[in-house]
Amino acid sequence: MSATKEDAEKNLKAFLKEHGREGLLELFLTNYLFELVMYYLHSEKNKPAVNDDTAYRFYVDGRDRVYPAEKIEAFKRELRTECRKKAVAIVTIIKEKELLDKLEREILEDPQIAQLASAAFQSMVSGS
Amino acid sequence: MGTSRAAKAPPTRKWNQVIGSLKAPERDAATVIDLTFSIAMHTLPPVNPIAIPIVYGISEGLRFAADVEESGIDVAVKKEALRLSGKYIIPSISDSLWNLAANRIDLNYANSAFGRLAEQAFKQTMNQVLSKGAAALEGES
Repeated sequence: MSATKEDAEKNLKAFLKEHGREGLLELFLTNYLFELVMYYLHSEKNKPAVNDDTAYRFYVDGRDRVYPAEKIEAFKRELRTECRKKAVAIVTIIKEKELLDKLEREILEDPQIAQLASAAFQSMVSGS
Repeated sequence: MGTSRAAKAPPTRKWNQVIGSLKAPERDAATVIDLTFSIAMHTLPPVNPIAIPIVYGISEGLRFAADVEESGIDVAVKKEALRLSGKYIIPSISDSLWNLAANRIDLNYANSAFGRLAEQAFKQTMNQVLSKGAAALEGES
């Protein structure tokens, strides 16, 4: 049976009660960082700087043996766990800079909010 | 043969470190993640096409969540003029919210590869939260 509007409301409220708005942010950033890293780890050659296919190396080990499917899935889970750690770090910075409320309400009026949040995201992701 | 092509690796020799980390006999996810992001980010232009779509997506998601919490879903849907499909309520909420976010950013950002990744992550997140409730994040640990 399809979910109703009431189901959606009940689920969203339960999520917020348990994890708060920062939980929503954390899940979103985890999903995004995982999509982003998978995008890069499935990239192809870019000569002359990069002569190997990254996507090939994701599935094939240094001795040119294909990884078993379960090993690849386990590695993806590990990558996702690392993405979650980065997401938690970004959420911490967003909270420290008191940007959470501003992201929700003031972003449309004050473009600087978006720049500050972007900078927080970028610094944590790139490690700079 | 399909016509879709993967993205090219970032144009820097440093990217070979990422490939090296994937080749390692015991590859370490933390090392792969740190190298991937730090090298890739430094090849992007100063105005980052990665962060903008995600920041506006976050804003839209947080605003909707706050409105639902404060006033209920009917009011929140009406306030944002979301278009819901009777049979697919949850995906249609996620789609409509993303459309609002995408309309607030430069079209070039929204339609970029990174904009598409943000769109995918945003819809996935909202679908998870609206369909699973608190368990959406608990499954992460």
